[in-house]
Amino acid sequence: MATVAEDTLPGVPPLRLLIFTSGGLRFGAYADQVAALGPWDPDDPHPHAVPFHHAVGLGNAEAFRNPETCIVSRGGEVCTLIIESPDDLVSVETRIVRPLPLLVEPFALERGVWAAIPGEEGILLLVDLYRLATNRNLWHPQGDLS
Amino acid sequence: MKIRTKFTLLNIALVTAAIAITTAFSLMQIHRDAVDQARAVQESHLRAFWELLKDKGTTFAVRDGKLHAGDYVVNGNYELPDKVKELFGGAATIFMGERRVSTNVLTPDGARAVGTVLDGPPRDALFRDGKPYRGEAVILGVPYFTAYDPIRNAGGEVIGALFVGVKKGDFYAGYERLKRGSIFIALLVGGVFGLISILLVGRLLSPLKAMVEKLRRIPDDESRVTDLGMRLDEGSMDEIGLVAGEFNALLEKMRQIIAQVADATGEINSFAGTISTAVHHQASFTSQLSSSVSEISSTMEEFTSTATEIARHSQEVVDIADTTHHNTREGAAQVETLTAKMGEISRDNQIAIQEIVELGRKSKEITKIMGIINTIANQTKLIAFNAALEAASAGEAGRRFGVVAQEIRRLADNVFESTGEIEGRITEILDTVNRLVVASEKSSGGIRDGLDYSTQTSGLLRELVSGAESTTEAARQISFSTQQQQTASSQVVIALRDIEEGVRFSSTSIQQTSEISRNLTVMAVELRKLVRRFTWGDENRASVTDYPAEPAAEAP
Repeated sequence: MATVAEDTLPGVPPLRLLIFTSGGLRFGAYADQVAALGPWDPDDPHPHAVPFHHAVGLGNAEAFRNPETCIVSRGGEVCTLIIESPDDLVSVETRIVRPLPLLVEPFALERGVWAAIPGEEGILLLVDLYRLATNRNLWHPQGDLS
Repeated sequence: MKIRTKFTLLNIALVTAAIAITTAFSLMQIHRDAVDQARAVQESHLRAFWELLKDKGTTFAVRDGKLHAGDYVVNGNYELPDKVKELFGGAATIFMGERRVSTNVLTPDGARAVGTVLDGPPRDALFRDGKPYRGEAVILGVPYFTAYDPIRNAGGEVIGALFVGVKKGDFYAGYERLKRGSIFIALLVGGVFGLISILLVGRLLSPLKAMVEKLRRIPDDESRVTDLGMRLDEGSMDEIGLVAGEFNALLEKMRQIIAQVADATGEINSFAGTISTAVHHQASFTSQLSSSVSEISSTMEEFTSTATEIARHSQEVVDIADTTHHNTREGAAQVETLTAKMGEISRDNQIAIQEIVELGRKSKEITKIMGIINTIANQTKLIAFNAALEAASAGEAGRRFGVVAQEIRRLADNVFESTGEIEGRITEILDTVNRLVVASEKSSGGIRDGLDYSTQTSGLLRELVSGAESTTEAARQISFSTQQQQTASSQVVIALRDIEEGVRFSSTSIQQTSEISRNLTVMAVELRKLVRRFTWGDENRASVTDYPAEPAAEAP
């Protein structure tokens, strides 16, 4: 993963990304879109919580080892996603961000994935949680947040 | 020579011999009577000569070189000899000493044979022995029947001799005529008898001639048939008729025999074929038997070799069994010691298992504590993430707080790593404990099993000791039995060799039997040919079956 100092472009602020793993793929979500992280109790599940890999369309991914809830908030609505415990919270320069191939871009945008960052540990898919929640109709009123 | 000729010659010979013997006997008797008569005549003539001489004088003396009878001078006086010849014929002589002084015997030249000297046996009898002499004597080369008496003087001395004789030729003249006549008559009678004999024999043997003529019709040629139905004429009641009858009976018997021979020939040929087939089968069987016996012999020889090897190995087994018996007894003692040790190990193992189980229980308690620590670290990390998010949203003001949150998150990660390592170690310990427990349980079970097995093994070893003793004894029995088997198999090999020799001898006998069978068939064919040479009617001859000239099968 590139460091902030190396990836910095003049006049362009770096991206702050919450790094987590789902279905064997590494994803990076805008940290600004994440309102909070919380514990996930299978014995007391949130009624609107949706597993991230279901929302992204990865199908039946393997069971969570250490599940947590990722709460996305926009206006008065929230989207609750169940993710694996985050790996890291990092800042990356925009110049290392690579657009998706044109052939898969429409399909990926439908699932909120908008770009990718190649690295030594594999490709990091950048996901827009707002777009994902909108396209998958995952928003629910903030009052339902328990 | 024909019987007729033989009979005729025999009859003639017998008649001739009979006549000859009779004639010879008669002639001999006549000859003997003639000789006796001649002697008697000579005696009579000599007595008459003496009487004539004694009429001249009764005393005899030699005076003046002359013989005197009384006064009668004998020398040169031929009156008395001539008188004797006149009266009786024959020769008469008076000797003075050994010399003829008065005689009617003439020399070949016709002169009186006076002056000649007496010699031979008469001289010895007269002048040496002083005895008369009777018998044959040769006088002047002519044989005579003679009679000599000595003339004695008054002193008893022999001074001369008186002789009368007759030539044998003259005396036998009549006899010779009689002999010639007898021989002639004998020959004549023999000839007549021979002629009669020829006629009679020819008549008597005429049936025999007819028999011969019929018998001559029996052909010598093999291609011609002999009719056994012919019969001889039995008309005459004599021996020839009997012979003809016997011959006819013989022909009838021969006909029956030939008929039986014809039937027997067929049976012989059939039997010969059957024998040939049987011999063929027997030869085939014998060949197979020979091959089988050879294979069995080879197998038995290999078996004998194997038996020898087994005997050797069985002895080794006996040795091994002895060693095993010894080792088993030692092993039984050691297993009993092992059983005691296994009991101690079992007790120690139970104590170790209890301690290991306690260790596992304590490790699980540590794992629970580590779970609590992980929960705390996880919550701390979650709080740190949220704090970092809040710090990021706070901009520059939350920068320091973000750093602290990051450090807390790293600390939580370190806790995670540490607890993970501890959990790994504890997991390893628990796995080890579990394996130890399992292994100990297994060992405990194994030890119990081992103890049981040791106990059982001890019992088994005791039984094994007994079994080893039995095995040793059995091995000895096996060794003995294998030695006996080796001997028996050797004897079997010898017997098989005898059988093989017997099979070869049987094969030779079968070949001989086959040869005999072929010869029998050939003989049957030859016999059939012979039988076909006889007939006693066409239907009978046709009943003789034709047979193949060669045997149907031959022995291989």
